[in-house]
Amino acid sequence: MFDDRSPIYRQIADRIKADVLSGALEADQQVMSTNQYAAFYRINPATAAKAFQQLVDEDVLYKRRGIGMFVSPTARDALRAQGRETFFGQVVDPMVAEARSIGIPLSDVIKRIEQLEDGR
Amino acid sequence: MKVDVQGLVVRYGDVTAIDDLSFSLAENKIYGLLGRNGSGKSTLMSVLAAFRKPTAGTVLVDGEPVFENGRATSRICLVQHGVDPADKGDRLKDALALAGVFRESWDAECAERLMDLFGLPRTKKLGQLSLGQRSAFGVVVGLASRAPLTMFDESHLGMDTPTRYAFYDALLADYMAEPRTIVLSTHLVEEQAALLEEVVIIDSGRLVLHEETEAVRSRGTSVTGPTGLVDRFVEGLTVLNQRQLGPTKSAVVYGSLDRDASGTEGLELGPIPLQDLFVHLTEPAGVTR
Amino acid sequence: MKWSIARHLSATLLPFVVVVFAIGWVCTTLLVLGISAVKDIRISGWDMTAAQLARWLVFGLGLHLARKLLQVAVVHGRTRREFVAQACAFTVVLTAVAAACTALGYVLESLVYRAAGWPQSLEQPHFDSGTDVPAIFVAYWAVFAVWTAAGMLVVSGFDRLQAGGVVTLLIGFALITPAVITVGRSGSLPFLRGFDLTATATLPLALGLCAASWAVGLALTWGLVRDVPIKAGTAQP
Repeated sequence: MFDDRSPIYRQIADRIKADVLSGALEADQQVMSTNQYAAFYRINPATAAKAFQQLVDEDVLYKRRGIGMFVSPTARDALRAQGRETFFGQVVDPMVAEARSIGIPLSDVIKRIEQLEDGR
Repeated sequence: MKVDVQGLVVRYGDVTAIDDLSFSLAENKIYGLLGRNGSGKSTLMSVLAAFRKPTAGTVLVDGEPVFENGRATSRICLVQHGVDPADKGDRLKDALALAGVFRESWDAECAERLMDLFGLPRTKKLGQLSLGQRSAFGVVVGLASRAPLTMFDESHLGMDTPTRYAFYDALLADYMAEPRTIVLSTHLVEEQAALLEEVVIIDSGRLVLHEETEAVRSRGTSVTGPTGLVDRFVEGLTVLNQRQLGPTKSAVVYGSLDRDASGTEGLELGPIPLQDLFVHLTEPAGVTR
Repeated sequence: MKWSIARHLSATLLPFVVVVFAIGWVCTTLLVLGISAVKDIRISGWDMTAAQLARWLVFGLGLHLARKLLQVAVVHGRTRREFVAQACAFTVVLTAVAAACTALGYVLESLVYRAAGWPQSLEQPHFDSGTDVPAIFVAYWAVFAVWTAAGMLVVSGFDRLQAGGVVTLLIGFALITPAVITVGRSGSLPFLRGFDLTATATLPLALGLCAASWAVGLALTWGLVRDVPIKAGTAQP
């Protein structure tokens, strides 16, 4: 369920961010409590709490004392903007490097992208 | 319940099981106690539970020495294979009643619920249980004890996978409902790592490390590539293990790396499973620096 | 919770002892009745059973207390000190109950023998009638106390010292010698055969020696048990 690539709490945080981006979690929607999260994924609740704390620090979630954690209304847009930056750095650039190392001309890559765009 | 161990030494005759061990446990966390067979895990837990007197050093729980201290021992529960919580001829229901007689904090309802969860036959005798059932019964006794310091010495032995998962679920649910200090001694590092907030690794009776699980995990990196490049990269770093296959070398490096440091071209950097890190940290050959 | 250990021991072991004595008495009586078909009955059967067999029951309970039950108590968070203190108090009650059962056995037998017209002759230094309840009671109480303490001592010795436990076995033998002059027929150990039972000691002296033996046995047991490790059956040394 969790791999070794990054700390578990960061993977949890990333998963919640992905849910916010995809719309599975909506603005001002309540998320599971840390205990529910811990029980569901069978992890230590302190780890879940750490993930949530990170998300609060990043303004993705906010806490309503005594009630729980909620998705920040600005989260989706902020994540989209962030996602845009990382997309180019972490997806596009490596793809180009990979294409080069295999020996695929970039014009072929662009042609393929255009095909996908039309075939949508 | 806080635990404070200073300069602990435990000897049996001429065997030194624990050799000048010092560490502290804060309260209400789930700790993993990791170590090879014969590393001293069981001995350490025995001493913490006042099953055994130290040869030297101090063991304090909540600031008080633990051995023969009723105030402390009544709040500690160690579940250990071979140390039965009742006579082998006792039926399980009688063994549970016995626990209620001796232990003030015993939660009989909790015990009943867990007996049902693990499907343990109440009329069967303790000595007739399979290893897995005996382990499950140990878990029942440990969790229902409601002891502020509860320790499980490889309580998963003999359990099949679904039963182990049931154990973890029951442990977590209980811990979240009523936090207590829990120590799990285990070899199933990968399976149980997510449950553990901190790990204590001992080897040959000595402390190797005591840290947050995540911190340990993040400190291991595997470096794979052409031998020359790998050698150059790992120079000056703590190398736990090296393997060679033809022209390719793979090294396990321990310590924080500058991930975007130069010199990584042609090299593949990857994470190390906690289980592997643990093996490398406790290998008999030791650590090459 | 304070006296819970002693209360638990009483609730489980006292009924057990009473039942064992009842079964023993019935078996003895049936045996005597059986023999009476072929031979004249001239001696008390219960005198033999009580003096020679009953002590092994309390010896065995001493073994069980000082090893298994002590371990269970410590596993459930009690201290050795707590357990030994309550167990000692319990053994006083245990041996009294056993002595009472023994005395009752003598009395019941005397009724049976009187009805059958047999003489209930005893081989005892301190009482000569099956109805002398006070003397029977204190004599057996003292003997049972000594044998219980011996059981606790021997098992603690072997648990703590392994092979060295043989020393406690020898001490145990020494400790039970006052029993020989307290209740007849209890000198049936090989090296004690031939011991002159008659008029070797008054009852108060015999009781005093038994009490001393009991105290020494318990003190030595405590010395062995006070920091004995609780360990797995085979794993740890």
